[in-house]
Amino acid sequence: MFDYESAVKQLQKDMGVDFVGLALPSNLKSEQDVTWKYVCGNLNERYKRIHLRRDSGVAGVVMKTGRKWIDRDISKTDVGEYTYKFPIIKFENLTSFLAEPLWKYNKVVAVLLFANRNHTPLTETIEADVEKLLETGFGPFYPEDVINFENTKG
Amino acid sequence: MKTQKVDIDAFMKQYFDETDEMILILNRFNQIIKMNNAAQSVLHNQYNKLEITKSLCTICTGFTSPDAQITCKNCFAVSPSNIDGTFQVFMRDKNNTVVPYSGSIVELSGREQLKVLTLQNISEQIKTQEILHQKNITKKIINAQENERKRVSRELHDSVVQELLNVMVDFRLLKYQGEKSMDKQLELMEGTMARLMDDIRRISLELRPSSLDDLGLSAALRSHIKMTEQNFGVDVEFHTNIKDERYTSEIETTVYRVIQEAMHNAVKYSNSEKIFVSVIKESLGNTLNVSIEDQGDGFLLDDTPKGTGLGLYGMKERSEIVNGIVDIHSELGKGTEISLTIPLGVKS
Repeated sequence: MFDYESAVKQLQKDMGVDFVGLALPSNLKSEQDVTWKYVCGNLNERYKRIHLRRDSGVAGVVMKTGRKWIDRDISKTDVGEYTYKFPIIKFENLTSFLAEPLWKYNKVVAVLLFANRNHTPLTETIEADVEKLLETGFGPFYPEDVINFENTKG
Repeated sequence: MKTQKVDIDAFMKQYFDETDEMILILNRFNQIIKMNNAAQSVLHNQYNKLEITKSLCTICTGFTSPDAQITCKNCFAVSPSNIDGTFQVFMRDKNNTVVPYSGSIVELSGREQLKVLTLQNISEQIKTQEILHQKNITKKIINAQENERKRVSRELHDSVVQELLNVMVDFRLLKYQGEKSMDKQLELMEGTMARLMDDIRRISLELRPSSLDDLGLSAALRSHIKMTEQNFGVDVEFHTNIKDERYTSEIETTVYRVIQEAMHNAVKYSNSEKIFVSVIKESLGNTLNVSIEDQGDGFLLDDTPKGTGLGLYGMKERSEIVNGIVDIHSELGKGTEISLTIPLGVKS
């Protein structure tokens, strides 16, 4: 079993962000019951209460669209205006974030969230850096929709 | 100079007789001592009664003050000096219907303390205003309805159709699967179907929970509260003593929708972590007391609403259907409490 907890901690250290969260379904094949299962740098335990849906919230939008989502200043976008729709942002007082889709079985099943508080900007190169970190995959997941990724990996 | 004065007298007399504006001259006992033609033609009917008492009160039903729409409190005719400019007053016309007028009153100097009351019919303006107000509300309601349809249609298109498409692709893939990967493929398809079922259930629940009709208020509320907790990560404390008691469909729907709206407002605007919801049947069983409370930011009731303003309006309209009363209490920095009191009639 992949050690998600240490991996998430390591990601936070490597990227130098305030918060890292991994949204995972309880069963990867049925993709049901998605929660923020592993977090690092959290302010409180409220994230445990959130049950994600595939079409709402930060992770929901990324799962649905299959694309990464970067917002360098939420006060300038809808996320800041409707924070109640993005509970993880609200509970953790996040001000900027990058959400990265993780693929398995040719579907987006998990989401990695890198975020900062107190208007600390994300580094200019964060997108490239994260891409590089995830190049070889993350646990059972792969970073993009590559049909043969699993085969090439091993 | 003298000739000119005569002219003004004649002019005033002519104006008094010919103007459409109703002019009434009152003495200090508020008896009508003279009316012009315009006033007579409208207010003439109660002539006999007027002849005996000549009191203004036989035709006047009251005026509009900050206290009430129609009131006799601080009567304009008793203390005209308290009245600034024009005011709205209601008088009976010939057909005994009450008509709104814009009135102004002047107290003449001199020992007789005569007062001149002039009236202009403003029922047309009021009607126009009402129509405008109605139009505005209708526009908002139509917008809200359209938005709701948009939401449902988008959900059907984005989640249901999307998942069905996935299943279709999976079916096609099955043809080319070898024995080995067949099991995994089938498992994935099963997952897709389970998600599809969840989605449809959720859409149907959000439109109107069937549990409200089948299982009653408290069951429907519990599932709605659980969903709100999961979606928005808030903590809801729910108290009730109604168990699985059933009420008329109107009452159950009203309670459910008011709680739904109030909880959503609390989630959206209050910034509160906790919401307290209670549905309590009073010990004598005559009323149902509903309350939704948060300890969040609160707001000023006079402020322009942050949203469309339809939410609170809808709560009031809905509760009126079941003769309920909605009471909104909010304090900045302390929180908001919405309470709904419904008289219970005969159980269905």
